[in-house]
Amino acid sequence: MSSVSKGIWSNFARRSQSLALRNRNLQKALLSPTLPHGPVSLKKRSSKDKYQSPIGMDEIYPLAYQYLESQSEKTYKKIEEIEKQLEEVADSTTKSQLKDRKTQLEVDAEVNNPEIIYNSLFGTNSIDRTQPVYRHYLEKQWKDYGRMLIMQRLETLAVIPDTLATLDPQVDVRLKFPGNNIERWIEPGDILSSNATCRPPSLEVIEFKESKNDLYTVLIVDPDTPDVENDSFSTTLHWGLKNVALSNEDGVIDAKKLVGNPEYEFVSYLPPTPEKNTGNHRIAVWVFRQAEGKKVDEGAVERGSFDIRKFAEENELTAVGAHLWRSVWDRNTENVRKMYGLGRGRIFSRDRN
Amino acid sequence: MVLSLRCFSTTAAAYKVGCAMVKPIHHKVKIKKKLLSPRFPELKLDPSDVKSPHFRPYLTGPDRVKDFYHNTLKQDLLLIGYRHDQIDVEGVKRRHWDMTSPYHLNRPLRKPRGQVVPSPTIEARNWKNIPQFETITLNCWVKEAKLYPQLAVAAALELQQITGCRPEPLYAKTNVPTWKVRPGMKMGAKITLAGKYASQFLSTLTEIVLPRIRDFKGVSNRAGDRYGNIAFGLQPEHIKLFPEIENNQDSWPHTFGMDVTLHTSAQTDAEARILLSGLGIPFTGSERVPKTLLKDVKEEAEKDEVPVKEQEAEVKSESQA
Amino acid sequence: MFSRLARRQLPAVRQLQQARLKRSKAGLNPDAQRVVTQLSVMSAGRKMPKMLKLCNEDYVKHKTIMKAWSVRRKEQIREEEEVLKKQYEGMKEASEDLKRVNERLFELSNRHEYGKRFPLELRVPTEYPARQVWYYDYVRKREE
Repeated sequence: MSSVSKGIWSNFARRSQSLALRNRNLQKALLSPTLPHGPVSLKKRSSKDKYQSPIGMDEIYPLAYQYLESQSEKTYKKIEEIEKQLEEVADSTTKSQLKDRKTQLEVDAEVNNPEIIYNSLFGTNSIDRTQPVYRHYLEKQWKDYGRMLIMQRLETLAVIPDTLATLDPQVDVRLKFPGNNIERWIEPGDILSSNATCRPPSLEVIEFKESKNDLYTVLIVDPDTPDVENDSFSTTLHWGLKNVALSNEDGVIDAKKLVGNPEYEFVSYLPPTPEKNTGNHRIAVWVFRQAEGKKVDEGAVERGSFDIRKFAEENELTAVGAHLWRSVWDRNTENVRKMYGLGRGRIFSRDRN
Repeated sequence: MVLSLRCFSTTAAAYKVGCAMVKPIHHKVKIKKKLLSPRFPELKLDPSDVKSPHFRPYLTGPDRVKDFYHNTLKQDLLLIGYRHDQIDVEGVKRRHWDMTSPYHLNRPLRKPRGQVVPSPTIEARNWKNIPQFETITLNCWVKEAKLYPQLAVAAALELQQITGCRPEPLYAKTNVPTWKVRPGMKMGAKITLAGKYASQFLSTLTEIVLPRIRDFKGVSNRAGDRYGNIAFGLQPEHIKLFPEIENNQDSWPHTFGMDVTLHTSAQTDAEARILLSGLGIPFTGSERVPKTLLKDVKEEAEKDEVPVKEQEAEVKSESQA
Repeated sequence: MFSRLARRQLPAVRQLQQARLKRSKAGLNPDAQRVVTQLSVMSAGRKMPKMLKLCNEDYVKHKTIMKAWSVRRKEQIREEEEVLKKQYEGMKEASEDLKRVNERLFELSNRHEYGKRFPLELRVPTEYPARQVWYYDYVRKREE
């Protein structure tokens, strides 16, 4: 059976291979008027047998595909023109404007390609983030859910303004803890057991702009440490990473990367071990983007009474993303304290005199 | 002690306020709670998505009235409506207070001169504001329904039979003891048609019903609400001419008359009539156009102004019948 | 004891059921029956079409078709607007010329046309035209 694609969308000479569907049968289904191998995405045998495509779709689909493909070809012509201009132009502001325009056109050229729509709807975990069109779809999904969720949790749990004053979110931060049976992405604001959080988490920072080798700083702080002398609370720094190089291809910060680059960690991981009767502790993860080409030169930082705002200001850090979870005293907390040699925790009780 | 410091021992007491307080927000991201809730995932989809329960297919067939308008009428209407050096005719707007009294401060604006609601400014004709036929409203008010409530149901059914759309009931709003009308009584039905249903109804009306009404001269040239919507009435015996009713006469021993309102995007009634005449609605009688609309051309400086006496001017309209 | 209680209550239950049966629609008088039928014609129940259940491939295909359709329509609207804009600018230019050349003709051409009507003979074209498409010897009826 011949493919409905007669133009640019089946030509991979200048387009990346990641713009195609990896599953051959699925690709064939999207590139032919009917479903030659049946409904591949349906798993159950019975539903596969029962399934019928809507009437008339096989006649219209090739027309629609070719129409959108021809539109895309026009956009690719525009991209070529811009590339030519880019070679000629020397001025840096014009150059960056042209680059932005080019990225926008690259999104426009591929945004209606059925294979890309399929990938971004149903294969979100394995898509190639170096392609602007995939980043466009990821950003859309993030804005529709993830961004609102983290901002709602930061606000309702008063992490802003208790740690930093505000956040203009630009990256999606995902977090998970290794080991045991909870290896899953943590929802912002979850209450985690001390056992789950006893080893350092692995983070994924998803950039939606083009990012080659940006440097990031990650701070994990607990703003709910009791400060009995002043009858108040203080902030404790639980983990500090600096100068972490991340890009669109690789946005993961995990144990493997930290073992390979020991200079990233300037304050080692201290698991949250809330003392008894101090309530839920909010543990905020802040991801900062460092100023272009500027490295953070911090030695060992004092953990207790940590001033995150001052730290960010001194090192010219811009907060771009955040995550948070909550920890509370549980029966395992003493074990974790023993593991890290922290001594026995205090037990607070209400003073009734 | 500084009150803004969050106390470890007495957090709740320090933050208690004596009045309702809206919590400040520290970020600029708009949060849609609906999208965050895990319930009803289908309802979060865009209505244009086929998986959404709100999905309705639209433009499923050719619409000959619409095609005719776009292929033939639109250019003609631009030509007819064009006047060189035309200017916007300012509508009567709400007036500012003269601030002679301190109580004028922050008062809502004064009523427009001579009317209660402001009238819109009539824009000069250009290629973007060519009048377009939009919707039809059918309004069927049955007086007898106050005694026989089932007649309101029959009227609604009649509207549904004629248009193929679902009507909504009309209820009495006033209490008039002499007429035995009380609020909440079901008194008839109304329906607003748009798109293919409106086109379908309009072509039935102009091609089948109106030509067969014996004494029909045309819609009055005086009809209209000043802002481009033309209305006329149909008698119960005219309704019998609709093919849906005519072919099923046994089921319709008596029919109900209705008011038909043709809504257009024209800025004035006169323009709306030109448009509707193109769609096959005949007009009759003399037409009057507000004087302000006739003098909407940029005046030359040397020309002496002729004082305008009457408010409206008779316009000779071409006879149609 | 329970069984005795149940036996005693049994006739009452049966009576209730009989009473229910009596309230069936069959007992309605013809006028009321008529209204019930009319209302059932208008009700939305059982008239909603079933929701389409599409597999992922067909879902993406459907999205593609809708997208192509909307892009095409947008294009058509833009094209139409361009034509109208050209017409408008042409009229404007011609009027400007005429104004310069002949003031009187310009004033004649620039009168408002509020009483204007399209002829009643103008028809919305149909897909299947009449057998006799055009009356060649048509004479417009004279008004008395």
